[in-house]
Amino acid sequence: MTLDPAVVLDSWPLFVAGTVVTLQVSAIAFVGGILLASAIVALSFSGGWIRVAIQVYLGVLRGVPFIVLLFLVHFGMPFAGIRMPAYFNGTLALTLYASAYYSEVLRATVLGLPRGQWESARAIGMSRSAATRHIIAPQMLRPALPPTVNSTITMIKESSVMSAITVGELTYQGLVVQGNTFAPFEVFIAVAGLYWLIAFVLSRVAVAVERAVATGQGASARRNAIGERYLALDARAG
Amino acid sequence: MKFDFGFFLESLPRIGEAAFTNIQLAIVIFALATLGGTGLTIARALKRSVLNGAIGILISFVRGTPLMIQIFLFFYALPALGVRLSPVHAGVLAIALNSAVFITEIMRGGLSGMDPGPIEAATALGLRAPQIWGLVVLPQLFRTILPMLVNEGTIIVKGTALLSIITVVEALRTAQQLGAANFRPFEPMVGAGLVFLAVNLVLAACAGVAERRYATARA
Amino acid sequence: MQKYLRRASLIAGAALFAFSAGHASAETTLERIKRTGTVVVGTEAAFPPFEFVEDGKIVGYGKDILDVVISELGVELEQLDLPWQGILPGLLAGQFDFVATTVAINEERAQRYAYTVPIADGAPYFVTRVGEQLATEDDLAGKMVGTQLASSTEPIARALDERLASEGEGFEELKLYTAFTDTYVAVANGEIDAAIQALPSLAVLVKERPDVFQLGGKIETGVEYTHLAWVTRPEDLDLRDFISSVIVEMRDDGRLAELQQKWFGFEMDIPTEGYLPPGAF
Repeated sequence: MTLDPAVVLDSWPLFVAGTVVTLQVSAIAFVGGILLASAIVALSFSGGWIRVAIQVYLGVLRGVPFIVLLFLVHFGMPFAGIRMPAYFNGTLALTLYASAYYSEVLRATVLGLPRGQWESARAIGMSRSAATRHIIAPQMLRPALPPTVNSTITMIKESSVMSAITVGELTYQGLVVQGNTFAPFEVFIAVAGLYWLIAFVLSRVAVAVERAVATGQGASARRNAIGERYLALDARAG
Repeated sequence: MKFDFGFFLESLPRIGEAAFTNIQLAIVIFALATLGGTGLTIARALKRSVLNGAIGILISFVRGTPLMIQIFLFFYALPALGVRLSPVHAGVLAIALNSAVFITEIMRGGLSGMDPGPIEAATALGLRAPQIWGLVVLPQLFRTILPMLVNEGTIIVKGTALLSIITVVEALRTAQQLGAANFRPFEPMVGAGLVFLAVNLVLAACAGVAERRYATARA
Repeated sequence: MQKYLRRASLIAGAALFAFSAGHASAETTLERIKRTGTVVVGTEAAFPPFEFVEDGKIVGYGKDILDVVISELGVELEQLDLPWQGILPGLLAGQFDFVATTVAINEERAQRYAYTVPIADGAPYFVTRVGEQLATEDDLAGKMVGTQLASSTEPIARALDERLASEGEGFEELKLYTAFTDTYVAVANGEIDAAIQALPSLAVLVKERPDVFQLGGKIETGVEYTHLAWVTRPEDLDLRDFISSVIVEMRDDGRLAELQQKWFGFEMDIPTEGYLPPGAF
């Protein structure tokens, strides 16, 4: 077994093209997913059939594997009379999937807000939009950011499944290179490395944000040496 | 295009039958992942620098790369190192390793919130590390993280669908085969979606029952 | 720290030894197959009518030939159904003993794999939806074209795309699917306009679903060899020659023609020479 880096280096334009598409579809799904999730969370506080509809929507998106959702959107769109390229269908599926995860984050954040903020803002005469913009949104940003970054890393990883419908992202390009070189080891190590790099950069962002937001934690600080031996794990997760 | 309801109904039994493969795979994977995750957790608590460095790299790698690429590495790349695995074995090991890492992270979260009191008491009674893990820490830990373990279980069930890509004949691949044979991929795919949904709903219901049981056992 | 390093190097050394020992044995694959009484073959069972899954079993033209080869060998068959992208690398990595799935002959593969005599003649054609006005390969300019990822038709499709582009307009896009059956679904769905694949498969597809598919033209650009065969590792020429001898025997006594009638509805000429690029194993 000898590693042949030339296999990967010779195909660098394909890896770059794949990385660009992966970042593109993830960015679109991020923006679209957050927007959809905001609407979902806003609506989920209303009652009646809207609430039920939202619960069904979230239940389906969380209970079905992304790869199945991807095929459902891709093969289902023509039934709605909409014929779109695989890139569009894949990005749409990822956006829907992302909306379910982001709405979980947003909902938890909203419920975590101190009670009465909204009412107080309205009571001092702020308009709905002003209350949202100046009171609610800034308070949500800090606790919502780290889990949002985590969900975003999950979405970037899920986007690899789009290769199954021929979207030219990183995994697809890896399969193409593998097919031409018969060198799966080198190719998939390289592809894994590129995904890891993307996740690493994003998680550094998350750590930086977490540090900026950190407000001291009670329970673990009071621990003594014996408890520390069992309750704190050393290996750091990057 | 019109939805062929007859074809949809026709394909459902075969997809439903194939879902038992997903369930079996998920059970094996979950058992391996829980064992692996617990092993990793205990290893991390040993605080040996070389070991922890290696585990840290593993965690970072698994969390930073797609499960699909991990499956490809096990299936396509390991043979290049002389390790030959069938699609089922490669897939089970890949998902189990992935979940083991997420489970050890869940455990880390659970441990950091745990009361050190019982451990101090056990130490004072002269129990040794293996006993403390087995009798004190782990039972308490598993009770705390049960809801998150169940959540990991649904992630594992969903992960088994990815094995269709390396030709494991489970619910999704069965749906794809039916779709390809009839040139109507959508109807069986709806069937596959419903089947996965049903499995995960059942799992969620079981989790509810288990949680209530534990809750009363604790009370 | 040093203790760990020593232990790690010991383990690495042992692994290396085990690995090299596995490769140094003097026994050939054919001898091992006969000694153990089992043969493991790799098949991509998504290539109708050559090899595909029906009611949970692998069937097809190739499977019928394989059954004869296995009974001549007098051993047990373990047939792995693998994704196409794992077949050729998997053979070199030793995941199975030979490939009993249809592999088109081309120069690049002939340098790494040992081909058996052909089992079929498979010039690449394209297939479209019924009613499409696509008759020759030149008509594919500006169209969505699909074929299988890492297949022999992938470089052929790229060569055609390049030629058309140099003369004005290439494909709108070349889509690569993991299995040929996915390309047929994509044609039926309107996702792509044409799929490129070997003629025998397309002929059967069009015969079975004349309401959906229509045979387009022959692909000439980039095509040098048209035969389809199985492959072994280059060091297993004894195994390769054994399989070839069974196929030739079946050709000469008419069994192969019978199977071709059964699965394709027509017969193909199977040559015993001139089907390989120069310098092939």
